Amino acid sequence: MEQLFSVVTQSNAAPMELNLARILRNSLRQYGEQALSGLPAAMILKDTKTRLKLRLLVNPKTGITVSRAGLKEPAFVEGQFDPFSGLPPKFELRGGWRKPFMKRRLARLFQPTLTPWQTAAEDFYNATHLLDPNEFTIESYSEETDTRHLWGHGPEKALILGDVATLSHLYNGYSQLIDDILKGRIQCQASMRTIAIITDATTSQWMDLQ
Amino acid sequence: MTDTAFKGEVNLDAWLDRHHVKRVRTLATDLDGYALGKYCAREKFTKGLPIGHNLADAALGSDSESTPHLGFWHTFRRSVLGDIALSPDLSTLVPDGKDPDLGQVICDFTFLDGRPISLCPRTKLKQQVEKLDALGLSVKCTFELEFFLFDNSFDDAERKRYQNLSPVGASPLQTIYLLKDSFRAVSFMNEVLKRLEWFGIPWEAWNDENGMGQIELNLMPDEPVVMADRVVRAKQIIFETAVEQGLSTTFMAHPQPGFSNGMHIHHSLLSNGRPQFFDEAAPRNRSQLLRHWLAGLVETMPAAVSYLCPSVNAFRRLREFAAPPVTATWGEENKSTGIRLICDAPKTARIEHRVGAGDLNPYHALAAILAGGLSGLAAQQEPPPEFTDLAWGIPASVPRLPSDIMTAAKALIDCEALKQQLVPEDVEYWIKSRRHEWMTFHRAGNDPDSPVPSLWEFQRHFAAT
Repeated sequence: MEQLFSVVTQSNAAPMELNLARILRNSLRQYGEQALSGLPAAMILKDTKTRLKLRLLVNPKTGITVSRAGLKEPAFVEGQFDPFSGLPPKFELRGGWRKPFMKRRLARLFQPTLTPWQTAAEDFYNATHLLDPNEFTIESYSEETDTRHLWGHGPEKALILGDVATLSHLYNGYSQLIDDILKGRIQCQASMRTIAIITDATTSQWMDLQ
Repeated sequence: MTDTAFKGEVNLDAWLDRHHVKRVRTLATDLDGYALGKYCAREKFTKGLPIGHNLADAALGSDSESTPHLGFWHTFRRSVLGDIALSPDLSTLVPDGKDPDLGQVICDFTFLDGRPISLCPRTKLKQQVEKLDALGLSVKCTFELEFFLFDNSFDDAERKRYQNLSPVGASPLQTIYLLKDSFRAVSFMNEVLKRLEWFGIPWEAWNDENGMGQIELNLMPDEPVVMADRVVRAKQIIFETAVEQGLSTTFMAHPQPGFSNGMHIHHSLLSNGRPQFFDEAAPRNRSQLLRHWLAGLVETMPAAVSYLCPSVNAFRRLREFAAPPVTATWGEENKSTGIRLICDAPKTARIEHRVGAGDLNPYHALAAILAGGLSGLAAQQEPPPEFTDLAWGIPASVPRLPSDIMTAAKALIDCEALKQQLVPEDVEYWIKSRRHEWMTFHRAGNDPDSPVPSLWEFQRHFAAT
């Protein structure tokens, strides 16, 4: 029987913690118990944007618990997990990881899984309950690669323009559409209502509320 | 509109003439409880009646910094930026008293044809009152207003980034009811009370509260919409008096470590003017109606927290042994539980809901409480056992209130009873607006567990709440 692992965050987890938890969950789903074996029981992680420190308690049988750590505790992993930056979550391991196998496992654990943006977009639109394909026609387009994704066949049309990296982070659930729009990383041509509903759907996906 | 009798005069124009009103200030609260409105020329005001004047629909569809809610939708909005109306409730029209040419009126957000917008907080409260009315019940209620008063002006407070302000009272003791501290605030409070009286807002008492520079003001009870209107007006009067006297005040829920502003809400139910909570024949004088009402309040309390503690800052207040409640419990004469029941005599029997934070929107908070009570009446359940101990530092088996804005939103999502009473689309929009608050808070790189509230919280709430 397949072992189920969980990643638990505290109730008032910040968006950056939710992004981190998503990465960890994906890694556990992908690599199973192998992802946790041999890891230290506790690790301190520092988010470089918010400067918050997190404690990751690793239980090879059940999964990972993420909680807040004291500001003075030394961090072994430094990363940027903020969903508002428009960049994919990235991290680096700080000293003390001399065992190559350990370093590899940690690198794998913290590496965000990104599926190609068109596949991720298809999965997202099919999963959301906020958007009806009979009402909306949503085209996502990347100029740099001239690749597009079309979903729905309704009269309410929307065009979402962005580069591959931005669309990839968005549809993989690592960034926020509203920030991408407000900061000019994505152009969304549609009515206010349509933009709001698409944005709402992406946020719900990001918060695992689908 | 101007042809009918108005407040003892032959018509509205005659009333405006008698009171020398040349301008009218309209007022309504947005979702966050911030007072919004316009100063209108008398001609503009009367010409717009009965629907009132236009304003951008973003007034009801944006956050407290007027950032439009672009990331979620409500059917009251148009697909482009449009207008809605601010429709005056002429029964609330009063002369300002301070400004000799000004009239003041409280309004509802409506569509441009005058139809009510269900999302409008004042309309939301009216919906609950109407449901009670259909059951032959009415509500008598009041709010306890707590606020901090500082010797610093608002400009000075901002320059100091809201740190190390000088509280009025300024004895280094955090003694509640200390008359020497109260005395330092008398000139300010006398001006506030004078204006309250001018507005027809009867008050009962005020006193020095626990926090340094903190004052509590108690208003006389009345029916829900009237009381919520009075709270909104009282808060505006307190702010304006502080500005005029070069002081600053805040209703921010948690402006300093250790002390918070709450807004406890007392209420009782009446039928044909007769109190319904006290029943001499019932065990411990608790009427069946009271028990059902209480059951609904306790069951929906975790969900109602979203309306009672609307901001990220408000959750800094809900700490063990810090005076505000942290559990979904009730007890007779127990000030540590979420609900304190007072059931000692027919006329004074009432419920004190102690969860509310100083920054709550009074219309929303009261609507959520009444909706909870209504769901209890519908379900006709008995309340959980009374909590007779101190409700802090107790085992985790006792149900806790949500401790942060997103947990509260989740509790509300999961509470079908409250959602149905308060209109599902409106509740979902509210929940998404709380998600927006949480995102905005974190986007600025803030920490909800930091020992001192962030500058973001002060800038958002100190003056405007």
